[in-house]
Amino acid sequence: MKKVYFVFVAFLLQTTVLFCAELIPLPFDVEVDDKKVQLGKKLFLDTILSKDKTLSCMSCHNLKHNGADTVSYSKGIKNQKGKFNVPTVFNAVYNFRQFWDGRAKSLKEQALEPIQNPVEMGHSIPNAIRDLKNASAYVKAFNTIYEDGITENNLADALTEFEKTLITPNAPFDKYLRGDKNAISKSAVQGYKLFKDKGCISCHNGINIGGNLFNKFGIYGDIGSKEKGRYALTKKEEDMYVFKVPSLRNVAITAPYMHDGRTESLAEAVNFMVMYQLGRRIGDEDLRDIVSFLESLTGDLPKIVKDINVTN
Amino acid sequence: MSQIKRTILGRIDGVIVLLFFFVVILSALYIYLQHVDTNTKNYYTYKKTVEKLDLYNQQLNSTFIRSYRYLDNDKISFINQAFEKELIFLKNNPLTKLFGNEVIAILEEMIEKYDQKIELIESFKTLNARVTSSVYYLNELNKQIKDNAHNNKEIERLLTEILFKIGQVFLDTGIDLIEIEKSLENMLIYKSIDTNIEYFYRHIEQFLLDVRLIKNVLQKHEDLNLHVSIDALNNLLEKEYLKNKREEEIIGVVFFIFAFIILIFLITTYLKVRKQREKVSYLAYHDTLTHLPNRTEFERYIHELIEMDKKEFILFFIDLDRFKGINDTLGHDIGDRMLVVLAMRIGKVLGQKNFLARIGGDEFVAIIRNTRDIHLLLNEMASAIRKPIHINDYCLNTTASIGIAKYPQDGDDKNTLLKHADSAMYHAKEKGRDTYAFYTTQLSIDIERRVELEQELVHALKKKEFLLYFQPQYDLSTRKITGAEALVRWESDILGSVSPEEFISVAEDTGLIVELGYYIFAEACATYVKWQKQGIDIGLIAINISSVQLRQLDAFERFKTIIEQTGIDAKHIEIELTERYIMEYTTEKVTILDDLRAIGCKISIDDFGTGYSSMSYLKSLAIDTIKIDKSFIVDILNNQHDAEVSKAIIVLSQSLGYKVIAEGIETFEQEALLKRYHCDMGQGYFFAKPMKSNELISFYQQNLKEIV
Repeated sequence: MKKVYFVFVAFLLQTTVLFCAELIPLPFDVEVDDKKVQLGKKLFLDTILSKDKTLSCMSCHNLKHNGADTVSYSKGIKNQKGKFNVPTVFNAVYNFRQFWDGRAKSLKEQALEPIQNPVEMGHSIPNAIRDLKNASAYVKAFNTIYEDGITENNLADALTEFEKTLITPNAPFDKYLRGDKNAISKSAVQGYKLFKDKGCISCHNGINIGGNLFNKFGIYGDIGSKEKGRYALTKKEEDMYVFKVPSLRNVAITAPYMHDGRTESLAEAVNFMVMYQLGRRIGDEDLRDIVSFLESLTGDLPKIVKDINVTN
Repeated sequence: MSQIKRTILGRIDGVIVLLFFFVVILSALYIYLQHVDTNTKNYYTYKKTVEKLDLYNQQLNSTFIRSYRYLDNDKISFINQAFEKELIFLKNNPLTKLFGNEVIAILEEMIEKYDQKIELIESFKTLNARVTSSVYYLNELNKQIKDNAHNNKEIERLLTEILFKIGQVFLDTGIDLIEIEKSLENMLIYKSIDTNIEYFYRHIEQFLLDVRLIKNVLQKHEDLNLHVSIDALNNLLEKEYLKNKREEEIIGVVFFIFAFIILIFLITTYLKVRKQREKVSYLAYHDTLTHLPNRTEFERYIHELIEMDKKEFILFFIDLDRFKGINDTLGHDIGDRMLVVLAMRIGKVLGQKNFLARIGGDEFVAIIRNTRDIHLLLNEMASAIRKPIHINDYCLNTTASIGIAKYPQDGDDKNTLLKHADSAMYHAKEKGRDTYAFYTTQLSIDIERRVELEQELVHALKKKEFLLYFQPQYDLSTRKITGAEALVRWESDILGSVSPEEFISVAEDTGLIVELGYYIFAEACATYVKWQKQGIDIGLIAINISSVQLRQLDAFERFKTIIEQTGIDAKHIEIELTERYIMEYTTEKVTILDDLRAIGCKISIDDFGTGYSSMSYLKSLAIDTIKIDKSFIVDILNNQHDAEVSKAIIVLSQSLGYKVIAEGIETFEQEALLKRYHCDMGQGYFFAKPMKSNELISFYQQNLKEIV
């Protein structure tokens, strides 16, 4: 019996250690090349990158709000509907992969894809480059920064450099993590404790509170997803319905939720997660607390977007 | 000197070519070394990269442990990115191609394995998240079920058993998962008691599923062996790296040996060239023969003295007496060796503090800084020069005439000083050589006079300004006239009466003496013939001939022609020569004296005793008469030495069969003494002064009467 006790305590200790880890606040700044950032910003806001010159990156990634859209599926050129809910560009630099299915290993890999996606900006890279080369301002801007001027790589590089600056520091929760115990409500503090206790943190962890690993959407019960996640890429059975765990930073303002934008409210989304991902139940009070914790994750808008005027 | 310059230039050209060659080799070596060095550096970076990959790989391996913490997720992402970066670096590295297919194959394998590993890591992360979360929740459920079961021992036992087994699974103690499933089915019997039991069941089910998947992932990871590929690459690089390193070392050594050789070569060449340059510069300022400073150096030195020092100093102008004769007669070789000896002697006398330079063939200049005891120094110098010089079998004697000019009294620039020292030297020569003379303003005047004489002399012959006077020579015992010496006078319409002492030396220096000499010779002969025609035959006409004239190659022919033209009998002609000429004549391979004697002319030595003739070779000379110089006679009554010398000359000459004439007899007592010494003949104012041709006729007739 002694042995039994020992083994059990040992394994409990282990798991306790695992769940005791705290989250990490976002840094205030990132190191970037300013010239590239300005060029990237211009590109990000310019409709020149879409085939019919109607859309810019900004069209779906609203930098003045949440870095994403407010509808389940955004509209591409010719009003085509996308397959996924738009993930926010805010703090994307801290995601281990990009896109819901994590097909892009880095921001740079990601940057050019929406331009080429037929239901998004619907362009092609050679044509986009041709368009840029016809715009003397871009030719000049690229030439001053890059020896080889406008190229596919440099286009992605400039966009990436800009996207790196899109971080939202100074969320109340980050202030709390930095020592300001009054930065968030008691309910939110309790929510953070529940977030850890209930096991949310096992997937939503790291600097981005998520964006660190893949997991199956609907572990405890089939929840009927049209998209098959990583299976579409790997064709492996175990990747069926496996998606990237998204970041929870700014989650309160990035509704609707899930890859298909199926839930509109945060409480709904938390409840959904507890049921299908953790296979548990949650009381109303706990749910409220977790929601107030999640609401404390909304940071300041990136500094760089301050001078941008929203048109859509 | 230009030749030396040329050789130096030639050598420098050679050096440059050789140097260029060396530099090319060195450059090639250097470039190759750089190449190898770059390779080594690249290998190093490459190897470092591989080592980094190994480290990252090990760090990634730590993901695959049971207690993997989600806290490390960010770190893993970071390592993933770093690993990928390094992989891309290796993939795009030019060395990869250089290494060849083996490396490329390993690298491709690595990339493939890495991709698989990433998949496994992601799977592991996912499963680990699920499993840890499940375990935690199971613990929570366990508590709740136990609380709700109200001491149901069977449920408690089953729960404990299951959790124990799960613990074992978690700690990887090799428990069979099927055993847990069996216990779980027993547990399901009680699901109606507590809804938590169903949750418990569902979670265990999911847990077991995930654990199986984890086992699968772990097994796959075991099989992956990414580190084997890394090790293989590492080993391969190690070999290449060492090979390259060795090559670098060898080339490095060769490079430094070459560089060292070049350095040595450059240094020695530089030293050689410098030595040559020094030699050239030495030659530029020094005389090659005596190694004394040359004229250039002298001018530089004196200029410096005057410009910088402004202290007084004394300039000696030293000219060797009759050096030209030695050069001409004994050859330049002997002359040169003599100059070397003399230069050394003079230098020794002057010492280190004073400056000595050779500025011409036999001309030296000395600059004396210490102006005291000049006479002592001059005498020392003169005696040093005078000492016999032994070269080959010759015993040579020479003297020097020294002109002295003082700075700043005698001139305040180098040209004036030198000119004045030169004038003084000339004066010393005129004084009879082997002496020294200080510059005086008078000297300058003399020089001017000399220049005037030179100018006038050129025209004097044409203007028939030369007149012949004749001084009778007589037998001392009988007082009978035995002959007359023809003496030339110059009555210049511009300069007035000019004495022979003045103009003869000028004529000799300018070469006019030759024509003048023939003129005198011809005039004298003609006069003698005229006398004969008037019935007077005094016996001999003595004519002075300059040594300069005798050196003319056609001299004998011309004398002979004149003799024939005038119709004089050669036996009446006595040619008076200087002692110096006679001495030189003995060393020259000329026969003019013998030729003249052969046609009947007599030869006499003028001014005997003033030179340095050795009595010993008098006997072998082709001469008839010896004339004792008037300097002996003038003081013969008071000066014992002069008297003894005169007596000795008379005795010796007579014993050798020469007639002796004493010159310059001015008093009865002198005549009487000479008579006592048995001197043959006399000449002088006491008996008769020089007179014109017609005067001589009457004097001769008078003489005849007196004797009779």
